[in-house]
Amino acid sequence: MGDEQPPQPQVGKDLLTYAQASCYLAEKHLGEGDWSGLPVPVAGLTLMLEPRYKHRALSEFRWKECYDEQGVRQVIEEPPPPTQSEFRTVNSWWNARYQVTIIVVKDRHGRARFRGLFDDKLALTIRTLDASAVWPVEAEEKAQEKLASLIPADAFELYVLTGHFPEISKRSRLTYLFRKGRPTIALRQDEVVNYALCALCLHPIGYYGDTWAGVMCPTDEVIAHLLMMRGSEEKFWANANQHPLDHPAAGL
Amino acid sequence: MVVVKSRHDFIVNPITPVLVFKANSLGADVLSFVNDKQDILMQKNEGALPGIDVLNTGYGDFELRFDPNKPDELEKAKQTITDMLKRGYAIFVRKGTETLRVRKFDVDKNVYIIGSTPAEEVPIAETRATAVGRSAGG
Repeated sequence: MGDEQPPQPQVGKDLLTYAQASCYLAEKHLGEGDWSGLPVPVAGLTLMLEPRYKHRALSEFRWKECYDEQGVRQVIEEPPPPTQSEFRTVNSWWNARYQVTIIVVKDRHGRARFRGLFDDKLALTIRTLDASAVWPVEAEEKAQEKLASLIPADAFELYVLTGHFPEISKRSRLTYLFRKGRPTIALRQDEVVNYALCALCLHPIGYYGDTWAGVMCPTDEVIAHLLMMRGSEEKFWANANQHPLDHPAAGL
Repeated sequence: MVVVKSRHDFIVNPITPVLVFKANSLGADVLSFVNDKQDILMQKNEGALPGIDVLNTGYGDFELRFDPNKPDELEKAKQTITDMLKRGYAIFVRKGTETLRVRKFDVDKNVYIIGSTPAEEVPIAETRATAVGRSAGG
């Protein structure tokens, strides 16, 4: 009497993997006009969403608990809130020579200082692996079917075998190297010149900060890049972040 | 910090009442986790009907199809296309060998407008478009 234990949450019903949650949320929200599904926040990663996205407050959502495969509850501790800094950032740029982002800050008296921010490709790779938990394998397979219907068979074989394929823009004659889970590389290639321009990073709806992962599975993002390049190349360049090729975010 | 360590660790089902309580702390407009079946405007259909493929977090590619000979399905398709364009989706259609971005949708003529002349229109009943959500940069 009175000391009944609450029922154990059931795996598959009360407890889901991130990927299952992606599927459930996408299904449940289709009728509300969320045609692209819903992004799923991942513990330990920052969810960056398009500023006008109607569920943008999801970026503030924090998981408080998770369960291991035995159903044992684990508490997810929140990181301490950032302390108020006396410095404000006034400028920053990528220094290719030293492979560092230089950040100039000023204190309350207007005195300028600088510091270096070292981006680490391995840390980006590992965080991307963390984010990949939200991508349902079935979604990736479906996206690959779609991609196969959009590009020549030999290009799709290249994509399956290597994770990337090239296509030349009919409009600008630039070559684009579309890559699974990495930014698209834009190159100028002809009889006279052959050089890479930059890496174009673009994610529909949103992405996880300091990773290469978007909220959609990698091939969906490749399709988005491909269609934007073909149908609206100027918008592709305008909307994408243009990373220098030697910057870790370029993923080379 | 303990985090989900593998694809096979679990989070609480976001569509059970357990998380409704937690989600409400973010504000009621954040997420409406509902259990009721929603009336999906158009049903998933593998046939050769026209429609829109939407890049989707859960499905990868969600296929919305409609039968242009059924007025109710056509009306729902028109509402969906109008809604998507209003929400900033980029819709792409094929015309010949070209892929073109839809600029507008003419609800009276049931055509995607891809340019400024009548020749630059694509009837919705003759194409499978692809829709991409608004870009967040990267």
